[in-house]
Amino acid sequence: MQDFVFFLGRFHVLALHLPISIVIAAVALDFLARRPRHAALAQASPFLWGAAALSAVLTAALGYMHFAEGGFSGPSAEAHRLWGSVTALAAVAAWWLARGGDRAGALRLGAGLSMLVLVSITGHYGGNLTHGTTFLQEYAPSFLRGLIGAAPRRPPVTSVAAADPYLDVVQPLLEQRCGTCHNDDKRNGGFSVGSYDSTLVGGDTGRAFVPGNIEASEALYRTSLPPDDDAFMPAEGKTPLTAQQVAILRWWVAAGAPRDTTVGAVGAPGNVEPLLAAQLGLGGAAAVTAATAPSATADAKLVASLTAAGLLARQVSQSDARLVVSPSAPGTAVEAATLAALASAAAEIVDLNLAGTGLDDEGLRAIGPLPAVTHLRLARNSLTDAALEGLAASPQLTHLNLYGNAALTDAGLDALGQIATLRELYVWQTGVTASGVAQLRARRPELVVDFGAQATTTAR
Amino acid sequence: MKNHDCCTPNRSRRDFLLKSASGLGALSLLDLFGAAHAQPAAEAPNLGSLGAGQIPARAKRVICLHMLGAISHVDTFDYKPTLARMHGQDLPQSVRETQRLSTMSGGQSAFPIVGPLRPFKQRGESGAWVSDFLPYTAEIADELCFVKSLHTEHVNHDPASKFLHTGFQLAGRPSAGAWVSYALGSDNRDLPNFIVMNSGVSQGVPQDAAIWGPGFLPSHHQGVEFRASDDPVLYVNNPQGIDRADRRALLDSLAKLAALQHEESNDPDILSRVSQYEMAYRMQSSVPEVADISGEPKAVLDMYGPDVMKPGTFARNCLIARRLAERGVKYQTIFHLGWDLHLAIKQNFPLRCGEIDQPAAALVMDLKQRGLLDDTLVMFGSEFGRTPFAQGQIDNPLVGRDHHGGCFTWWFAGGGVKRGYTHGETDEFSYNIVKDPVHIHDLNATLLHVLGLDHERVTFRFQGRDYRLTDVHGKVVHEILA
Repeated sequence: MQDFVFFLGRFHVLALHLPISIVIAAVALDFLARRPRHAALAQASPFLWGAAALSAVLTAALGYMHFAEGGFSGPSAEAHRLWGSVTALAAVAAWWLARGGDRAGALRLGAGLSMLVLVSITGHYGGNLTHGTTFLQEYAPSFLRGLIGAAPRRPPVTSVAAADPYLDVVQPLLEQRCGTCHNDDKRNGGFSVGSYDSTLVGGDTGRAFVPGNIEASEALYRTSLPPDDDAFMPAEGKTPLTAQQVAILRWWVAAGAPRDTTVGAVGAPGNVEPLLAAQLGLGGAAAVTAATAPSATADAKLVASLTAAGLLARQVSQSDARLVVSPSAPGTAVEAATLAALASAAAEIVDLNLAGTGLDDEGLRAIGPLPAVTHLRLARNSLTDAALEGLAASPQLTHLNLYGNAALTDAGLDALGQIATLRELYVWQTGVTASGVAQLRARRPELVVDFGAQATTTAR
Repeated sequence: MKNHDCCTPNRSRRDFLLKSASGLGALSLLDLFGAAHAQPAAEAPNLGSLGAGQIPARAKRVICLHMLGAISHVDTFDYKPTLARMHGQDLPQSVRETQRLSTMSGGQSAFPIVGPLRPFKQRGESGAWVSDFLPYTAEIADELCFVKSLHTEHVNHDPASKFLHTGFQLAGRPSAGAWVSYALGSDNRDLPNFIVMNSGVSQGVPQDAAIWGPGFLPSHHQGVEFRASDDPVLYVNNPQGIDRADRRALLDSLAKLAALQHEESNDPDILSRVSQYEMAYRMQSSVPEVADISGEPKAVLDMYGPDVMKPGTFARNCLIARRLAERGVKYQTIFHLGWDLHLAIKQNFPLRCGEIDQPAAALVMDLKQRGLLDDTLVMFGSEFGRTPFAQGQIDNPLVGRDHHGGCFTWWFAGGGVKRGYTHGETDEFSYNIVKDPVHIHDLNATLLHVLGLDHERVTFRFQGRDYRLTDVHGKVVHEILA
């Protein structure tokens, strides 16, 4: 039964829009009806006011049900309840007046305007409950803030070092991500980020931020959980904190939750500083993006075409969509379709393994230039010196494996020596000779030429 | 084996409610089927649950050489002249302090130091100390990265081995190879992702399949054990009168039945089983091909030593490991048993070293000359080390060394680790770590890192919590990475 009351209560946030709009419509109609051209509208006035009264009473009733759930306390909640009740009663009175004869009298207009004021006040307090008391102030010009007695806007921060770690960084962050449910009026779980003190004290389940102790800080624990965890915050699918924002909070807690000082005085490590800059809108965004590489996905059609051609295409990593490609059953012979698929994906391939696939010169040529490849594994094939000319079109090639290509000779080796980026070259079991390798090693001392274990180890 | 009517293990209660509520439950079930057996594995590549590594990988595969029973680090890599000088004297109490000893030497009244059984020399350009017991390993010292500061909490083989491979001392957690298979899938659809081989004689050291088990991961991620024979997988061949077409028809019909059963119970083990039947079907041709070493040139066989001609030896297993690495198998663990030398270490240690030294070095160099060391991580070590002091009487010719988890040595090669490098340091008795300790969890974190995985983000939800190989521990040892 109680649950059902709570269930109904949640419709309060839907129903409340009815009295507000109907009251506005009724007052507007009453004004219009004063002009002879629209006098006929006056007939609708009692009906509209009746609808206003009915919806206001219904909304208030639902509001009491919603309130019964708990979690609402503080001045805004009390004021919202009081003014909501008054508004409902006043709406009934306005309806009673509208049924009377004096349909365009001053009393009626006065009552209508009073109703407008009442729904505004009630609505404002209600809005404070869901969006936080500072919702309207946040972007208000300073002169307006002065008028309503709010703290003047903080002067814009111009450098990370000069920013106040609490007022400029943490407080706005918490206000933005937590403030709608954890404010001084709507203390869900007994927690409010409305002030420094309440932020640290935390709520029913523990201290939210324990200066100097990341492990004991409930808020850091909750925001770091997997999103599907029951205890994860923010709850109910609200925008979670980004990893960067959590990192900022961890830094703040580790530093002892400082306030009334500057970031410069507290000191921010190199990996936190760009995060702070980004949070403060000081253009650290680029650095942050680089530090937390976004996920990237390889072109699905390209991958599918490689798969269909009997190849296994893996992304380099979740944040690097370039491809590592090998036969899905290593050692199976390449076919024309395989080569064609490789040719169309060539620009994306950084690591290509075609070892033992029977690849010949013609096949390698069919693949065409591999502009992105760094690792090219062509061992145990039947490539000749002639095929290697095309490798000049791979300006990033560092690792080239040609072992087991028997027709390869010193002439080809000499040509490979021209590839300036090359760091590792495998030519075991080829036609290459020891003297050819020695010459290449002399010419390119930084290039590791592997000529087989027997050739490199000394006699025991 | 799970009760098929008890649960829907492959989705959480919340998932289930959400999906049923939105009417998608049935659809996703259909998806599961479509993926599982409409002529499946031949088409869809198995990229693992992650699809791609979380960080750029330094290696694509791992070969772990586990000297089960615990090789003595003080007689192989951790050279301490003090031990030779103080041979026969008691290990000072100030060194031993109150550390836990095994029950086998815990009752001893004296702890006389046993000096290194054979002399050490500095090797290669790196100057790494390697004992004369390991001449072939000594020769490739410049390829190796030694970590001398491994440590574990465990003093007995069974918990220590499980801890090493699964991150937990009791059976039931997935082995590192199973995690890798789960996260990254396969580079060769015709062979298992995780293969285990054994050689040597256990001498009572317990070893069971939980060390390479899948734990709570789908069961097809478990390590497949290759037997010590020319025919490494039993019953993989068709029986008389059954040909490959019959086998295919049988599997197709079986898959249809399994689909019906899965529809009823939603048990993921059914899908695992079907995928394993398919794997076995493909292994009918791939395994004999891998096991057939007749095409290996003599020069290559000679590298591994004479034992390579005998199936089931460490040498043969190393050669098979290279052949499997060549074919893209992601994770291999090769055990060599017989290192638990509480007794008669002087007599047996040379024999054991002779069995593994040449093949292990050959594996590294053979991978290297094929350009495979570049993206294969080879690692060599034990579940713990052995004591610098004697188990039993020092003057007994059958003296031995007891278990020691406080420090021990592993070496690594390839896979983006530094060459000719040594990390970590022990005290002059090789008993305590004085610099850069590396816990087993750190080893596993590093292992996953090398493969492109973030050990903190490779998780599996089971019984209400997210499990990982390193539990809540583990720090990547960046110092050893090139």
